[in-house]
Amino acid sequence: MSHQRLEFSESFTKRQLKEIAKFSVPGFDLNQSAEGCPPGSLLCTFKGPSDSLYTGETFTLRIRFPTTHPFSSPEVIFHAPSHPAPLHPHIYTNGHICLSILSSEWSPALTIQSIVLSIASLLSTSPSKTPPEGDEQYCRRVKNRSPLLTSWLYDDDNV
Amino acid sequence: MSDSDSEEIEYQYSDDSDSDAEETAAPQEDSGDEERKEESKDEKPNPLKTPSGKHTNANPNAPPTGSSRFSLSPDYSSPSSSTEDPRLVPSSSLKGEMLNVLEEIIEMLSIPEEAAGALMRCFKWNKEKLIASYFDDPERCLQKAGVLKRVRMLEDRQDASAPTKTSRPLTPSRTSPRTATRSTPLPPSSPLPQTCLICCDDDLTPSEMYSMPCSHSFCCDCWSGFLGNKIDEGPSCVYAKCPQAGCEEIVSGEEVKAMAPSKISQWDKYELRSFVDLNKNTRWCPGTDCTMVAITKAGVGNVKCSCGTSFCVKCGEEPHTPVVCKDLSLWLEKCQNESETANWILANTKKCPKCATRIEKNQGCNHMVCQQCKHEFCWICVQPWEDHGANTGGYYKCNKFNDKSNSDDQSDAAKAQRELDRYLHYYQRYHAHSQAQKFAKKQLQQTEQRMVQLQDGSAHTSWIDVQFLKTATEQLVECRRVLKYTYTFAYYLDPSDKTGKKERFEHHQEMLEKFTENLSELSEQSLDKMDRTGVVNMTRVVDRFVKNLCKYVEDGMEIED
Repeated sequence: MSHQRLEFSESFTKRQLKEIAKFSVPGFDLNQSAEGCPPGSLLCTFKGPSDSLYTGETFTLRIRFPTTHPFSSPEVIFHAPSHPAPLHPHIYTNGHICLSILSSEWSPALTIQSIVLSIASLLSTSPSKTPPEGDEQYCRRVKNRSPLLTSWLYDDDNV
Repeated sequence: MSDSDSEEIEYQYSDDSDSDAEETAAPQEDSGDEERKEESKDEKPNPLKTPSGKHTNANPNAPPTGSSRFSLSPDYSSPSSSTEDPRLVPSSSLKGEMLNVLEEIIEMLSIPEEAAGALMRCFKWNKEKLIASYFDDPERCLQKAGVLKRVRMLEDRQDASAPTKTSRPLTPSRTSPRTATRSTPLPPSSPLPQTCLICCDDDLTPSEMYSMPCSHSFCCDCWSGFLGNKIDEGPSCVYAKCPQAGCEEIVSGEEVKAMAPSKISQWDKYELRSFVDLNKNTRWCPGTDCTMVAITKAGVGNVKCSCGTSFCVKCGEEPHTPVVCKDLSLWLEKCQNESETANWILANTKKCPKCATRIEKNQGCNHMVCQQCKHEFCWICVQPWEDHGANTGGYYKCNKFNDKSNSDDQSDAAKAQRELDRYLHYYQRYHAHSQAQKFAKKQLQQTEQRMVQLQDGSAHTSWIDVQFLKTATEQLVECRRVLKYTYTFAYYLDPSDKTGKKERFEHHQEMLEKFTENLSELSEQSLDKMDRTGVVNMTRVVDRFVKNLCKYVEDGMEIED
């Protein structure tokens, strides 16, 4: 997937506003005005799913929309300043998430709600609290770049 | 700009689908879109030139179709004639070429054109593979290519329309009535407002909605945005799927035409690009800025483009008979890796073995005469030229690699040394002929001037009379090229072969060396000493010899009876 230029919009479109208004998942808290976040970002705070390795922990996702949204996927990362990213074989310690619907399998018909639910399910099915292979190198390499600029390879359909 | 492009392609599309003979398609295009190919020199002016040119007497009794075909490309060097395989076509007639291939699939599988295109892309334009896979499991095959719904919808529609003869737009009666409307508004039976899952607008009328055959409908604005965005993302747009999450149905030109018409020319370009890139039987001309495409039926062959570039259709490198593509790529990689060693050993200049004057070789022949001391020697082995005479058992004893070193020494170091020596032996000769090929090409550029001088030198000489010089020099370039690759070929010949293949090949190679050096010397002669008959004869002999050598290798180098 090629993004020639990656720009984020600083305000919400009609669709995004509707999505925010309609968002309702018990236990998930969607917030528009967040301190220290670029304009146009959303923060979503939720508790680790019960009966999972993350029970009792709290996590925060940061969601930003490229100007090409909904034709390209939003940027979704774990927001470290609020809570550290979960230790998970598909989640890098810098907050980047390896999830197909966030890149190649993105469809414009997907919503914020479907994304956070996918991420929650990613956590509930986690087999172990270990970081992905090559985590350290990856984090060093990408620094603060958007995960949208990473080309992801999906080799594990189990989690 | 882009609009006119699209019109042009449309035009060819209809033009081509009419003509069923594949061969005639290309020349028809040539005359058809002159404005596009202003820059591709040869073709356009030719039809105008023909009546007064040298070709008037060439085909007075040829059938009309034949004559018009040939008169279109009289200045082409022979291999690009459209009846040959491989043949070259301008990128403007690619659409016709693609449709020719598709038509067969459409007919055989009775599927829509868009589905045929996606299927072929999925199978890299390998028709046999597609057909085998299709008859094995049509459902899976269509699913894999993302055209299952598209094909099934056509079938349903045919089934429905056959018995009742109802008009088409009424037929699709799936989950929702507006599904397969193809932007044909339905009778306003369901005035319920529709919701678009992309923009979340929820007060849309059915006529504002559109869907692919998979029935996932979205509003027209979102379709246009979705398709436009995919096409802007680049060539991968031809693999775009329905916007519905998880839906595998693939987007086609039909949707682009309907929902993003301003992008259709770009889409068509990407589609054709994918046609050439994926297809094993097509290759873009590697010449700089050239947009011609070579098409082959056999999947192999050499072609000379109108831009002057010659290439192998299979691998895109310079024609490299007798070496096969695989060995050539190994060889080129090896030369790349070892180039520093080799370069260190091979200086571009050599010292005269007698007076030690540095000599730079700037002409093609390997027979060197030192300007200082008049010593004659062979450039390749630096031995006296007399040693290469018939009296010492052969003119060109320079092509054989003699494993002189002590082959009893089985240590790794000795083996490596022997292998390096073996490689260098062949590389040196490969390199020498490669350089000589470059010189010959340079010589070719100066030939026209020499021809003018030669013609001016004698009152009774016509331009036709001096053509032989050009033909000879062209032959020389060809010889150097083939010789160059005979060393690559010989390097990959099994050194332990006991059937005498290697010896026989080296013998032929030696002969070719001899002929080539002869031709080189004859054609480089100063003009006052030029021996026309000698050059003409030598050119003919060498031409036949090169062809036979290549044929011999192709046939597996068995002993002739």
